[in-house]
Amino acid sequence: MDTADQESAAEFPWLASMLQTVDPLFPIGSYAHSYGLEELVAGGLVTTEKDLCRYLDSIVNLNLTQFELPYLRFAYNALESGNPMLVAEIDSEIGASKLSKEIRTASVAQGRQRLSLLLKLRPGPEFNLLEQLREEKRIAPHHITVFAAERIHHSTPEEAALASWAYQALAAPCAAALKIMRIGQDTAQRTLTRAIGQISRVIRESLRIEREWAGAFNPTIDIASDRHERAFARLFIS
Amino acid sequence: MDTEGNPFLLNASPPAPPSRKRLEGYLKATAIADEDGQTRLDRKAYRTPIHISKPYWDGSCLLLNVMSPTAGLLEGDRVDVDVNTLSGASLSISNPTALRIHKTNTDTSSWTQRFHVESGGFLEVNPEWTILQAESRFEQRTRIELDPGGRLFFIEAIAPGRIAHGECFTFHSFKNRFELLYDNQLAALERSAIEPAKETHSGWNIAFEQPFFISIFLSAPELESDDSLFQYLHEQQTDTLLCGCSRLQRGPCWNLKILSPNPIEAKSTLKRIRDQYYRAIHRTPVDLRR
Repeated sequence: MDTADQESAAEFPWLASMLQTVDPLFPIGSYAHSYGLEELVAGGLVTTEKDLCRYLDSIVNLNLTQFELPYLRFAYNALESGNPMLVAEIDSEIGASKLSKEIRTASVAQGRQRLSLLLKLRPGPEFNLLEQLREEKRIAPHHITVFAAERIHHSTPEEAALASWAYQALAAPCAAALKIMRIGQDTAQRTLTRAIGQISRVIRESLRIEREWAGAFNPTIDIASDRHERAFARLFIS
Repeated sequence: MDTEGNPFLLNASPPAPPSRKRLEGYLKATAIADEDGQTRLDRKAYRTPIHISKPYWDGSCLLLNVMSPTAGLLEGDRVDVDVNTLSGASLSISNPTALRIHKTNTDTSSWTQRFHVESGGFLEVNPEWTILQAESRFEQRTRIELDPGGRLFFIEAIAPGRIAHGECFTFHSFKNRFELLYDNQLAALERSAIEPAKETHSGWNIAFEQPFFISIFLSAPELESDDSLFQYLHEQQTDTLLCGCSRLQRGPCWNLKILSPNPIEAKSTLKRIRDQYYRAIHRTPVDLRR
């Protein structure tokens, strides 16, 4: 690595670590979840590239704007304040907002697995606090909560953390779509590229959402997730 | 489609006179069980735009009909509801007419409700449709505190406009906040701020263009081990009705959701689910007399 490379890496010390944990190689089981998409495909509501684009726009982006990205911010603020009671409150609100058991369970499973790995790979006070709260049964913890702790650990800038969360939320259904829809890699990448183009707007809008009203009205995907829980045959856990 | 009794065929909103006084109504009630096991209202207070009928005891449950003598909620109207159901009491609150939210210019109409059900208490809240008419602004807040051993059947039924008038998603804004606490711990939290002009209703109309929505929160100790009601609901789905149910993060508490372009089909499914719920908790459904 020459001097210029070293300077560049020093400018973004958080980047490589962030890329590592949002990569599908990071084993938290993202590949096993479709987050309701499988049931929408089975029900004939999402069958084409156009449908998939609409799904990302009207369901995933809505949830990102009004719920997930705001709660990533709230969890970060709670952890930064060092107030365990507030961290527990935020984590409980995340769980209570996921009315569908399958989606809630997926969030907890991924949160726990991410925390367990981070404690081994990069021990730090933020992760220790979450582990302590988990042992005391005060938090689940949910995936968003652990992701927020990671952001503090690496001093990741807010917009980069929000963008990386949004990316994985959009990439996961595109990856799942390859297995359950008649689309190929090119189509999946075209759909994802289009969706990535919306991320800046989604982040901007999410910053306006206050905690009291942070939530997305998404009954179609809620029902799909509820039905997936009782589906006779299924490929994905959620 | 059979439209008899369909509230979506009502006349257009009456214009609010500019000098009209905003109404601030309320309903405060406490249901208790007397020595004979009969439920009566120990506390009962209300003010327009809320009016209640004389409570009716059907032998197992007290039916309280809540009505709005005005044409619904007009600009800036506020309603506060506070109902306690004490141990041993059984109360069914029915709103037999649709709650229409009328066009407003700037002010939001609001409905805030709090319910508490003690252990051994039973509460049903069974309103007709809330209709979000064109250019209306509405904010609803619900908080339910359920003690372990309490029983609950709570319905929220929302119409995205007066469909027969060609109104659908033409309201200005609808903010809805719902909290269910079981044993003082958060079991469910739903919040949404919908403004169709900003496309924030996109998760509502992806399956149907004119979707009527019903959400049911229910709980009972009997549901801890009895799954038959939820399997029954799962089997009610048709080409014109989507439905699902899932268990919440605390207690024997569940949420059921229905979406359909046909309000009559949605209501008839709701009725069957209600009957199944009562069967599961070994009670006879109170006749809502609608």
